[in-house]
Amino acid sequence: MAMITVENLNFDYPDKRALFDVSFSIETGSVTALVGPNGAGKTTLLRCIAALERYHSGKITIGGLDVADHPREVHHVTGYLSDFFGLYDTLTLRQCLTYMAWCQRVPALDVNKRVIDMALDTGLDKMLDQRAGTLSRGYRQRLGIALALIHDPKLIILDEPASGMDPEARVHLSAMMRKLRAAGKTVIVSSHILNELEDYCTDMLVIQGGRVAEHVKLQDYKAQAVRTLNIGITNLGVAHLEILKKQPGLTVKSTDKDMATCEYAGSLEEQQKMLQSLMAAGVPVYTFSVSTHKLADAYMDVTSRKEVKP
Amino acid sequence: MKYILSPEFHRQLWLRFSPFRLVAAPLVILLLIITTGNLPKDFAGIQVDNTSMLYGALTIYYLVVIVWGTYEAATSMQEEMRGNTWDFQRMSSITPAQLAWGKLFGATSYTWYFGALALAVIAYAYGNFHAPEPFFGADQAREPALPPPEDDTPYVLFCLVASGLIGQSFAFLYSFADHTFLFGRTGRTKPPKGIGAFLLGVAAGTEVYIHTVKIEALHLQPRAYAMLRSFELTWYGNNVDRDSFVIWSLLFFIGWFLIGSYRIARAELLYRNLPFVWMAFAASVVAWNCGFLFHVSTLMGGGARYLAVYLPAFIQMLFICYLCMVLESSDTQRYARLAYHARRRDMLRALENTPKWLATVPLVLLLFTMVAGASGEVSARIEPLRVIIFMASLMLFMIRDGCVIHGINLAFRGRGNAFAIMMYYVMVYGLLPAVSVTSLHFSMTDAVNSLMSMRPPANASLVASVFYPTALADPMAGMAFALAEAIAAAAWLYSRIRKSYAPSVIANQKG
Repeated sequence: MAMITVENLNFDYPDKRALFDVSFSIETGSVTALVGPNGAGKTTLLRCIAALERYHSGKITIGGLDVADHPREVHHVTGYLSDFFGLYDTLTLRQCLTYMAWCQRVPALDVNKRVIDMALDTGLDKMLDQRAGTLSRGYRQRLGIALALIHDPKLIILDEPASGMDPEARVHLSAMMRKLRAAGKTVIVSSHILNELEDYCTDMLVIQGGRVAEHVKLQDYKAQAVRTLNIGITNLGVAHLEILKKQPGLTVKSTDKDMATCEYAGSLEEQQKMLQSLMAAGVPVYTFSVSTHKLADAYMDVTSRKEVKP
Repeated sequence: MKYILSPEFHRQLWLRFSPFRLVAAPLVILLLIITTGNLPKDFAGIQVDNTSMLYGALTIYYLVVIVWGTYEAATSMQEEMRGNTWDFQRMSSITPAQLAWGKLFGATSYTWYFGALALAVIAYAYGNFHAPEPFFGADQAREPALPPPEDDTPYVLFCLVASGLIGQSFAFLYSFADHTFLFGRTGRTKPPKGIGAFLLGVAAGTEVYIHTVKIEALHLQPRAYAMLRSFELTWYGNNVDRDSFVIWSLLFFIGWFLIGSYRIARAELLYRNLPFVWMAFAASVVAWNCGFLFHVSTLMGGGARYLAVYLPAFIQMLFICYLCMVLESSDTQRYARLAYHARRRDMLRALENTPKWLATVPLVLLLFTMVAGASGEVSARIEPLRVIIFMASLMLFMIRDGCVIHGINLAFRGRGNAFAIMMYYVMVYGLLPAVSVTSLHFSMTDAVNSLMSMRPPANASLVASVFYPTALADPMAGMAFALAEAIAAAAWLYSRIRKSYAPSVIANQKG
């Protein structure tokens, strides 16, 4: 069932159109990576979905609710973290979270528990009585996420949530996103850090020049797409390369010392058989790995195929 | 109260109150009482009673509630927008009333706490304050004794509270509107700083404050005070109690300012705002103002008595429409949405995107019709056609200015458009008419004749009517100029809109 449907969405800024007839749908429980170059219209699209902007024409529905007709109901079921958000710097983290829980109509008896839970989930539990203004950038980002999720929304929209986070915080964010995915939440996350999105995303929506360039199901892509194989062969020589080239579906792209980087278009079973045949042919394979950056590959595939329209 | 005592109000209390601040306000008031309480009870033979305490508390009240409180109200919205916390609030489930009123009363809560202490001192000092006979010398003392003034402490306290509310609520409304609708906001620009809202709010609050302080000051002059109290006010032909009228009028305006903030909060939270509340506001303000003219109209006979009310009402409504036209944002997206939904006959969404000036136009046209009807019944002293043509010229000049200002806003995109608009006004309403009149008519004889007769030089009004409406010129010529200029300005605006929109958008809209 679709959580979000967007039909022929057009959005104008005073001197230009930012979104052109954008249409797509996002399944309930999916985690969608919204990617695209700077200025492609990602933030505008997210703000339209979050019922923060009035669009020129088209239709957006969230869980069956028309965003233009029921913006407040949409706000109630949505958690949104903007790319440039601010915090109430003179309030403590506890006050910030309590205030947002009140605003989101969390039942009065549950407010304290919810505040503690969110602080634990985001790793802020030891800082609850600290002022928000004293937090480092990474912790401010965590607090922003906690504020967006305080009312346990069904739909979560995060615009560049990993921006400014240190490696530890990013690992924490990935874990949190996996937890949200496991809880059946629908998440749209915009980011430029594709390797991290890959850890938890199920879908990828590519926006270019205000248009949807591609909507990819990453599972399908993983099953069908051409994979990059890194095959390490001791004393890699011409004879070994000849054997590699004879393998069906395998194309050698480059070699570096004892490592051959190849593209492979077969299924996973075929891949297993190919490895067996290499070993049987006496090729001294010391390592065999599949490149894991599928999202980046998929994105590069899409962007190289699509022309950017002005 | 649930609308005011909201999460937003609570957050503002966290921000505004601290143990130090809680103690500081009573300390200042205590200091005032000790200082003024120890002053001698008479000064150079004049008994001063609680005068120093009263005026000290009034000054503190003015500075704290009207100046500081208005500043807090004017900047509270801007803090949110500049701090990038506004989206969190918009995405929350808070209601528009809780958001707007919680923010207004929360941001000013400390100033009201401080002000309430000052008001308590004012109430005490004013209640125990009476002007001594010898204050203005023996002449006044010899005059017959006046009855003692009524105890108007509640009225004075109400007016003081209202002065704070008027200033703060107006500043809040203006700063909120400035961000959402007003001048120069074409797309995402930096949020305004709220200085204009602060100054206008202080001006509004000061106006009511001065009215109140005047009453108190007049206590020192019993005869003038008695005259003021006996002054009768006529509104729609009825004698009304002056104090009651002031109270209801203040409540009327405070009410509209609060409703205005609520309506803007609704718009920001993307509720559907239809323009009927705005129309009710414009109509009620004009009706309130015209109540004072009704008395004048009863002195006239026949249709003139209606004309005496309808014509000023028409001009006031046109002025409101004009203000909206020149102040509202040149938000081309909004006009595009209006056209799009109107084409699809989705009237609710079209009305939601209707700018304020356009919503005022039906009221202007209604009053135009009423004036035209009334002018047909007046005596030969007034030419009905002349009145109608003059009103039409006013409307056409309004269209000209509105088109030019929207065109300037689109051309400059928020950079230097304020200066360009100011230059436009200086040129069209000052420099160009002056240069034209003097270059065409200037001669020493003309100048002397003009000065002696207190009339403009011959044909000067005709030349002036090229630039702005004038009742003195040939009405048909004036209207012809106005029509030509309105058409030219509309054509220029249309070309600016086409330039500012990418061709693909226009093609898309046509489809």
